[in-house]
Amino acid sequence: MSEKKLSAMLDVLIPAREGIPGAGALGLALAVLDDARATEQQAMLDDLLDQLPDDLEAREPAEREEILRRLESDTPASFGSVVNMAYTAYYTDPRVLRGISERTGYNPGPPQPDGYLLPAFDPELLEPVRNRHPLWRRDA
Amino acid sequence: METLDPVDVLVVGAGASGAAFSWRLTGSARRVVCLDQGGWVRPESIPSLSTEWERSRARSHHPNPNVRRNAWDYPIDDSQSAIRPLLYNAVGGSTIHWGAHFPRLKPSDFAVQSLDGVGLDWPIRYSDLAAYFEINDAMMTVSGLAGDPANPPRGPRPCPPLPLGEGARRIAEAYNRLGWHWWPVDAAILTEDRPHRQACNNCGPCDLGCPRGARASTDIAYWSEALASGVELRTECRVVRVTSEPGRVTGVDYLDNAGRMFHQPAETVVLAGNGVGTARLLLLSAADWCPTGLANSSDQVGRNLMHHPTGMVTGVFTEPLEGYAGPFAVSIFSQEFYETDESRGFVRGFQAQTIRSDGPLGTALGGYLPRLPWGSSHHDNFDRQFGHTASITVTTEDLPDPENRVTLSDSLTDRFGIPTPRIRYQVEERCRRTIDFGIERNTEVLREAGAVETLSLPLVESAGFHLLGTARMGDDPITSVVNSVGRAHDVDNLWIIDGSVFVTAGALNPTSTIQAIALRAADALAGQPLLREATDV
Repeated sequence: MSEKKLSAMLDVLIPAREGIPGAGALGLALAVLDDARATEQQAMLDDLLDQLPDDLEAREPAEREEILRRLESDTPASFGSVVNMAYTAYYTDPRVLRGISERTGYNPGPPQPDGYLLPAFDPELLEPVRNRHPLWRRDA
Repeated sequence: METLDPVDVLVVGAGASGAAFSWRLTGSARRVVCLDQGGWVRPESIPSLSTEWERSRARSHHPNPNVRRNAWDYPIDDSQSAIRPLLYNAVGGSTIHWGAHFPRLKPSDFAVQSLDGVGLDWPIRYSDLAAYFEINDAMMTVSGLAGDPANPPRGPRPCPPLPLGEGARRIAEAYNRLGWHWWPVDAAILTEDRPHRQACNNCGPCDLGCPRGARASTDIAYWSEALASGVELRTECRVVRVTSEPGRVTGVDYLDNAGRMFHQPAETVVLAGNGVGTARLLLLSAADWCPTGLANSSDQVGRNLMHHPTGMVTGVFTEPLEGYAGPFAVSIFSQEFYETDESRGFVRGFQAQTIRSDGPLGTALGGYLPRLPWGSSHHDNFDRQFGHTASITVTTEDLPDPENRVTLSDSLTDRFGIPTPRIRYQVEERCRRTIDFGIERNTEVLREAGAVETLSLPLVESAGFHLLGTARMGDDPITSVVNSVGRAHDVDNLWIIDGSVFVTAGALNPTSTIQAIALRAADALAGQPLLREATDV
């Protein structure tokens, strides 16, 4: 039950967008549960999920979001931790990163070894600054 | 407990200061041993080689030891601190996980009482460190450009400046239109290949470590030479106390990784932790003849903790800036508002450091910005910000406050059962006024640069990278812990060489100054003539 309820919650936190299902439909509930276990937050997560209706998934989208807004207002710290875990699972998922890459050109792989090519520093930009008098004060 | 063979000089901590100090001492024909509670970080273990790099940054490689909880770490009770302390425990210390911004304190930073009537003057001046700054810049292979009118002259930089990227270029042009100062930063990052190290390829997350060796850390910049010169470095050795008898230290007791206790006798003990770790160790080393802590007859050990309270303004641009490309913390800075102008309503000033933007997870989680909202507006907000932002810090100057302090926790311990540090810290009102002023100025420049929206954060909670002031230097043993070269007033053969000895904090990143102080202390301990600039500045 907790996985199903968490999945419904994740779909509200991070809904579907073009070509990519919501975080719950992506199957990220298990990743969030694993994260909660690894960071000793499982009891907190269970408590939070207990406060959600069992039929959250069946409610209208606006009502689901309203239910979560109330829960966030009542338990901001716990709710914030779950949002962090949801974002962590979602934005490290290869399917999501591929989608970002397709939209923006961002390299979805690791930063190394490829890195990025940037134009070299242009010293001409500094001409107005070079001509200034010293800005620093002496120590006495 | 096993007692080991005595050594001449025992250094505690292999980070920024301990590495520089140990290397500098190698010509003195003494037996030098350094202990560090961490181990070596292997290049192949650096998370930027993995697609999981952003998860690592949020978990196993988080800068906060309370989040990271590595075996080499100790927890810190920061429940009464407005700023979270951030540090790393390994060979290389916090230079393993830093942004490598490498400015120097300025001449006025050493004389804030004389010039501005606040804080205290240092017992040394910029000119006392100038020659050591140059030595250190060469060892750390700094990139940058000489000729900055906001700072005293310095030698040619070992490497040319880092590339600006689109965001910093726009901000530089905006500074020019406003007539404000800016300059490419000094950064401890290679822009040209060196033996065994490759030039930076702009991958972004320097704070996770650098598998190319482009971004300097003291494990590669200093330790390879220090070890080759005969310094012995023992890793995963946690010092639990400095042993002493009235007026002198006799060595240290330390635990190895298996929990075995050793006594290492030493002629001289040198503490090179940081403003939290060194204070903790001095307090843990209380004895019958020094019941409030070692070297603490002044009651200043642990007091006067200083960070750099930091605000942040982020500009959102319509056009993509690819801000995730390039070393995240370094491109340009402005010191237009660094020196005191009392017409602003406060003394001292701030440094504005341009910061690039983040990867997808960092964008969502925030940190320098609020976390992105969840729900139906989430994706629109992500698309608007990701790769489209550039940020500018408002880095302010902390001044010493004895109530901002490190003590020992009476309830929290590390994995060996040793009491952990407890921090009590509040941000001074003057800093908050400076941040408010700086947010207005940074907003102005970001708007001039073309930002269509600006977002500000009046205090970045996770910005406790700089841990300073808890064993300050001074000429008066009543009000300071060490003298002008780092020798403890109470204990002739105890030296402190890390950021703890700062008297005031300046308003900029301290590592370059910490290392210059450490190099100078090594010369003093070795009985060498201290290097000095020909003329005072």
